[in-house]
This record gives sequence, C-alpha cells and structure tokens, in this order.
Amino acid sequence: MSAMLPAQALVTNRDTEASEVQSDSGTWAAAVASPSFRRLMTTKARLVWPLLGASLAFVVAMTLLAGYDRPFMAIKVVGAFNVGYLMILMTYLLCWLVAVIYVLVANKQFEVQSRQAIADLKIGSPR
Amino acid sequence: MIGLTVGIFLLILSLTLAITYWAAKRTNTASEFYAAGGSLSAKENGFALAGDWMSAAAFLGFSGLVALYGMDGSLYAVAALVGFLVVLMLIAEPMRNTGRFTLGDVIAERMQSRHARLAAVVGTIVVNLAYMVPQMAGAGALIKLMLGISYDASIVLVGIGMIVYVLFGGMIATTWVQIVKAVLLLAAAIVLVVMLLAAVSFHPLTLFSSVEQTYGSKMLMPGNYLKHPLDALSLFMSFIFGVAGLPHIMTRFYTVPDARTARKSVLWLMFLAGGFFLVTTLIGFAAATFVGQPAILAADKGGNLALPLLAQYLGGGAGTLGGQVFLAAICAIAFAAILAVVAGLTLASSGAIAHDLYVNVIRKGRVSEHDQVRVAKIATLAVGAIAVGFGLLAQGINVGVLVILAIAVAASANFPIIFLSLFWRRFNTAGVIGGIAVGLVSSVVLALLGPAFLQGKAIFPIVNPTILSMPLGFLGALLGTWIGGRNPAHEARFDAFSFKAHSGMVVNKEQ
Repeated sequence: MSAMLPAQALVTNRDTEASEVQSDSGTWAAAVASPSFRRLMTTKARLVWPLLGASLAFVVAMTLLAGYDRPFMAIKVVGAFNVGYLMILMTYLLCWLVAVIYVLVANKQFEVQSRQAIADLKIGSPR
Repeated sequence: MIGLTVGIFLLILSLTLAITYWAAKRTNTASEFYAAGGSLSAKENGFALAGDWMSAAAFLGFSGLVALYGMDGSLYAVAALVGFLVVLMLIAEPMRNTGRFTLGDVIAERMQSRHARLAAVVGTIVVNLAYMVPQMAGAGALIKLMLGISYDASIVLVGIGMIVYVLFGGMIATTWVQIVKAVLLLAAAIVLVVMLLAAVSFHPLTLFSSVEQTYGSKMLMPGNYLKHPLDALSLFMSFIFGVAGLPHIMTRFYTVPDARTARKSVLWLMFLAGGFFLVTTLIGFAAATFVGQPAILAADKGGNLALPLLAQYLGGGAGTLGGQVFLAAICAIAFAAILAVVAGLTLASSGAIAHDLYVNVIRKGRVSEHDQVRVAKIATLAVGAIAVGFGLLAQGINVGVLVILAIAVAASANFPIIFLSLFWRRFNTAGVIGGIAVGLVSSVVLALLGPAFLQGKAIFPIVNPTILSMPLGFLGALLGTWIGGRNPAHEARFDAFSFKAHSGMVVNKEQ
C-alpha cells in the first residue's frame, strides 16, 4: 500500500481509534455521500450484482431441473455424458470465469477508488 | 502393512509438529495467535483456505457419494464451490475491513453492543461444534481402521494433536499445517487421476459409459441421493449462504494484510479446491467401475472408503506392495486433513470464547496483551477437551445430521446477521439476537424432523432445512429489528461502518 498518500494519516491503531471523526456522525454522512465514495460503491454494485445474479440464476435453474425434470438431465450429449453433467461442468467453468472477472476488475478499480475516497475524506474533514 | 502405515502417519505427524515448533517462536501477541499477525500472502492463505475446505468430508465423502449415487454426488461437490461466489463478492472484503479476529468483531463493530457480540458467539460455537464432531468421529473410524487401535484412543489422539498445534503455534501453525495438508492432498489427487485416466487410455468418457453399463442409466441421473425435488435446491442454498457463515473460514480473512489479498486468496481457493471437487466425479466413477459398489459398501456403508479403495486398486490391488503403499498414504493424508480442519475449528472457537466472550464481553476489553494470549490458550484447552468429549459420545450415533446442521445453522443464523449488518442501515442489536435465535432453532428443529434423523418417518421431507430455515432466520432478524425500534444515533453510525467496510480505511491493524 502506498505509504505516501495523505490517507495514511488516518490509518491508526484500531484499538485507539475512537477518533474525532467517528464521534462526528455528520462527517461520516458527508463521507459516504462524497462523489468518490459513491463512485466506489457504484463500481462495486455494477460489478457484483450482474455477475452474482447471473451465476446464481444458472445454478438455481440447474437444481430445479435436477429436482423436477430428471429425464431432461438424462438426455445424452456425447456417449453416456448427458445434459445434467454438461450443466455441472458448466457450473465449474462459470464459477471460475466469474471469479476471475471479479478479481481482475476489482484489483484494477477498487483500491484506486478506495484510496481516492479516503483521501477526499481527509481533505474534506473539518479538523 | 501396519508398520508402513504407522511410518507414514509418523512422518506426517512429525512434519506438522516441526511446523508447530517453528510457529510457536513466532506467536507472542494476540494478533499473531488469532490471525498470524495479518501477514499471510494471497497464495499462502489461498492454500490454507483450500485446506480448510477440503475436509475429510469432502476428500472422502464426495467421491464416495459419486461412487454410490452418481450425479447427486457430483452436484454435492460443485455446490461446495458455488458457495464461494458469495464469499468472494459480498462478504470477504468487508468482513476483513471491519473485524480483527472473529465474526463477533464485525457484529460488535457494527452494533457497538455486547449483546450482539454474545449472539455471534452463540452462532460461532454451535456451528463449530456441529462441524467438529463429525470430523472427530471420522478420524476415529479412520485410525481405528488403519492402526487397529480403539475408537476412543483415536479420538484422544486427534484431540491431543489439534490442541498441541493451536496451543503452541496458534494461527501460524494452523495455517502451515493446513497448507502442507492441502499440498499433500492435491498431489495425491493428481497422482490418482493420472493413474485412473491411464487405466481408461485417457478417455474419461469411458468411465461414464462403464458406470451406465454396470449400474444402469439411473446413476447418471439426479434423484438417487437427493430424493425430494427440492433437495438439490436446498443443498445448494446451504452452501451458497452457509459458507459465508462458517466462522473458521471467515477467520482466515483476518490473516491477510488487505482486501486485495483477501480477494486473491479466494481465487486461489476456488481453483485449488474447485479443481479437486471436479475430479471427485472421475474418482467416484473409477471406484464404482474398478472396485465396484458391493466392495465399497462392504468397507463402509456411507461410501467414505471409495477413494482409499480405488488408490489400493490402482497401486496394484490388495496384498501387493504398491496397493499397500497407496492405501497407507491416502489414509495418512485423510488423517492429516481431519487434524488440520479440527485445529482450525478449535482456533475459531477459542477466539469466540477468549476474545469475544472473556476479553470483550466479560472484561469489556480491559485485558493486557499478555493476558489475552494466556486466556486464548486456556480457551483452546477447554474447547479441545469439550470436542474430545463430544467425539467420544458420537461413536455409533448418526453424525450425518450434524454435518447438515453445521452448514444449515451457518446459512440460517450466521449469514443473515452478517449480511444485514454489512448492508442494512436499520439493522440493530435486537435484530441480531432475533436472527441468531430463529435461524438456530428453526434449522435444528427442521433437521431433527427431517430424513437425516427420522429416515422414512420424516415430518419435514427435505434433508437440508436451509430452504425454509434461512428465510425464517431473515424473518427473525427483521422482526427483531422491528421490535428493537429505530434509533437515529445507531443508524447514523452505519455511515462510518459502511465507509470502513467498503473503503478498507483502517487497513494496517497493527501499526
């Protein structure tokens, strides 16, 4: 972590961190309303909900088919390998793909935007 | 034969003890004891997480389920991977940013209330004990089989092992024991898969056809194990939301320096453990093909010895030297797997008792650094002794219901309070207590009324209670919040919590 940023000034020991900022809830309300923090939260939401929603939707569909349409799961694809196993294999690939996308995008954007939000908090706080 | 097995057992044991000795010298502060000083790399924590998640239940259980029930076993294995999507994207980073050692830390940071922390302690202890007892019972059965010593002596042996690791080496020893175990386990899996693929001339689809020919097309269909139409969905819900509520998994995110490392360590876990779960289908089908279901059932009714029996077959068969070496190695690794997992569970439980209950609830945080470590060690001894006691009682009892219970309570009691603490402004202490109480009671009652406990006479038809108990847990949390009433000062504090949770502002906990 870049120790040069002004934000580091706020990084204190958690135990002693009953800091001035914390007692002043107005500052925190301003902090979460700040454009930089809003941008971080929007970035997170835009990344997480589509990825998580799509993958969980696929998985739920698979489990419902496994419960309610077992003949469909038994339709052969290649040799004895059937639709059910194809969906299971796709679930592995989907989990890995989604996780890689999340980590790549998060690594690229979250830290930069977090540091900006913390830096803005430092500048914006009335201390 | 016994000599060889004992030799491999002792080799692995002495390796882990050497790690513990090395780790003990690096374990002085409470942070080092509970969280390895927050200094692990993504790769280290990823391997340790994979070790935590590839328990004996996964290692032996999934391949056994595939060998006996076909597709349902494969569904079980992939469910264990899917669960980490929620951990990765919703829970790991904010948890790491707002807690120090335990789940209780996050809840207390959010609620600023000792009652809320206490509720988290209850959730932690129940889940950990329900998780630990089947592991201990499994280890007892395994050692009894391999070394011929009694079940009771085996349990005590496991108890001593896990207490020694945690007592002297804390999180550093627990982590490295877990890493060693993960490497051994993955190496064994790679050897096994290469050999079984060689046995079918590297045409894995041959295994699917041979299973179909021998046992009928039903093996390649769902419904042999997950009988009720909603069983599969409820099982997946247990994993999807339960993993995020397992305290010994969550604790691992405190061992890394920042959110970025936490995130990358989950990715390591998903490829390491996920790859292993994927090949359990091949291992199970190979066991069904080469060893045969009758022999697997004869060795263990639950199919838990399918993988060791396959290893014996691929090594050259029973009675040959290669077969014995393979069998002994696999059993020793399974034993190491159990030992490592129960050590992690012991550590997470002693954190809940020493750090949450004693230091923060009873003494209100006024405990010196030295005393914190001392209390943590006393708690470790107590947790270890209790676990051994339950392990001894568990002999001959159907522990299957406990396995279901652990993950169902995690999904129904712990997950709702974590999720709502992180994301809902109005969520309050009464909500935490309501969520834990309703989630806990509903999952226990429904599991006891279900097929795992009552077999054919089940009142609740679905094996995993999560499909009903998790919504009930959320309902309890909402009701509690409503009863607790609104508190503008408390709701205003959510801003600070939310900012820290998502920006990771207090990044360097030890500076």
